[in-house]
Amino acid sequence: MQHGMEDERIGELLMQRATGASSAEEADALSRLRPALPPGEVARWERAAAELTAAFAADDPQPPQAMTTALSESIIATGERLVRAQQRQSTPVTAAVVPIVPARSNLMAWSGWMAAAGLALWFAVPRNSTTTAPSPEPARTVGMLRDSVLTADPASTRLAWTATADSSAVGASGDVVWSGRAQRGVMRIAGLQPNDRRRWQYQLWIFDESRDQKYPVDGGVFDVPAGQSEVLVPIDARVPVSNAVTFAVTVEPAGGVVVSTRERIALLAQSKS
Amino acid sequence: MTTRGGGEVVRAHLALMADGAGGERTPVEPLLPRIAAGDERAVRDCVTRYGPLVWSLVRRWSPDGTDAEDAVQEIFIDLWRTAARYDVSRTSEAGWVAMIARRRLIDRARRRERLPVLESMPDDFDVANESERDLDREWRAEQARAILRELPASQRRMLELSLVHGRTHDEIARETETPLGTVKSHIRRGLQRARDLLAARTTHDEVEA
Repeated sequence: MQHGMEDERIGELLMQRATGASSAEEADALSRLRPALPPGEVARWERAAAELTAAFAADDPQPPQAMTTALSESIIATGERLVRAQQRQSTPVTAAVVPIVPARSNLMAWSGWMAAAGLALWFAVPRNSTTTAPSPEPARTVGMLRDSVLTADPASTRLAWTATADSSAVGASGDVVWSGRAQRGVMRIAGLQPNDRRRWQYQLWIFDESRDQKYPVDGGVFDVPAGQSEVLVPIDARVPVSNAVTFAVTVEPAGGVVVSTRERIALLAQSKS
Repeated sequence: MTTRGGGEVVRAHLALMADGAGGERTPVEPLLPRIAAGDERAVRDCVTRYGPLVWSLVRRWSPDGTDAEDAVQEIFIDLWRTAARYDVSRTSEAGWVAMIARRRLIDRARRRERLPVLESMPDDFDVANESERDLDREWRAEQARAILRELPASQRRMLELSLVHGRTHDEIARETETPLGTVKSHIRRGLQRARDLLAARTTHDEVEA
């Protein structure tokens, strides 16, 4: 009897979810029960709802008036553009994914950094939440993120890197994609010199048009492992960037800096506008 | 000016299954894998094949024409973006399209009502499940239609109001003058039946094997 009531309750929660009728409490209740359900059970109910929906629509004796030609052509045009973009930008998954972590913080201002660089690094304090580098995401995941940035946000930018004359960047190439809406992006870099992370690291800077260009947004530090020809670096801005116009990768002491001297700029990617 | 009209609209959906010479249904090539592979031409084919299905749902769920136009475009963008996730061995293509459409429509309805949006696709949605590998999409689509035919009229009506017209359970209760508990019970039983029958093929195949 008890089991029968439980089954009925579970069935009702699954039905509510499959029909989009779950309240917050019901959604929570189902989440709590999920570990006890057979694998794929929630999806199975949703698929049943979807198959029935398709069957209903196919047998509909009174279908609504059809889409206008203009609307369907607009949908087709958008779809073709997205498929083209996905195909063109399809990211190879052979690249290594390297995490990007916040640079160490210090209190030195831009103007005083040069004189006190050594001292500043000596007193540099890692941010609490970033003492451990995040686990690298699978290349496929980051590749998909990169593709989705390009396809999901029509206003996303894709800027090619220009390698400077810095020794770390000879022959380096790639691009950076960025979605201002999602505040996320991915750098793809090939040919950048592997670094010795105990001594120096690469640091990303994002120049926001709405901010003073002297103070770009610190995008964090990352490494290029030896033997890796290409890396994917997911960007997760910690400070809102309203209009990214330039991305720069500099070479900095291990741990990064709060304000760069810009002495060693390895890569630059600039929007034309 | 419209692309299609009247009964032609719903029949286009049935392009999923073309009648063969002997009256039997023959499978039609799925389109989403082609789109996932970067075949631009499949986009037009997909809109032609599934536009009527999506539009028929959208028009019923949307409060007005402007909202419907936004919704249908969002749904197709979702379809292009998720094309690579479609697995022909697990759902009919029309079922997948209907699911993507419903998810988007539910989210939009919830936003209108300022309710929390539908939770994301289940984590186990794409988890390979041995028990479902033998099910093919044609069988699923036919089975779904068979299930609808065998449901009692009242149960079928409530399911249709919920799934196709996007009515809330309360609205269905009022519209059909049925107690809310009965509405929920009918919808649950209908879905349960569909879920069981769509899974039953496996058991049969396993026994046969």
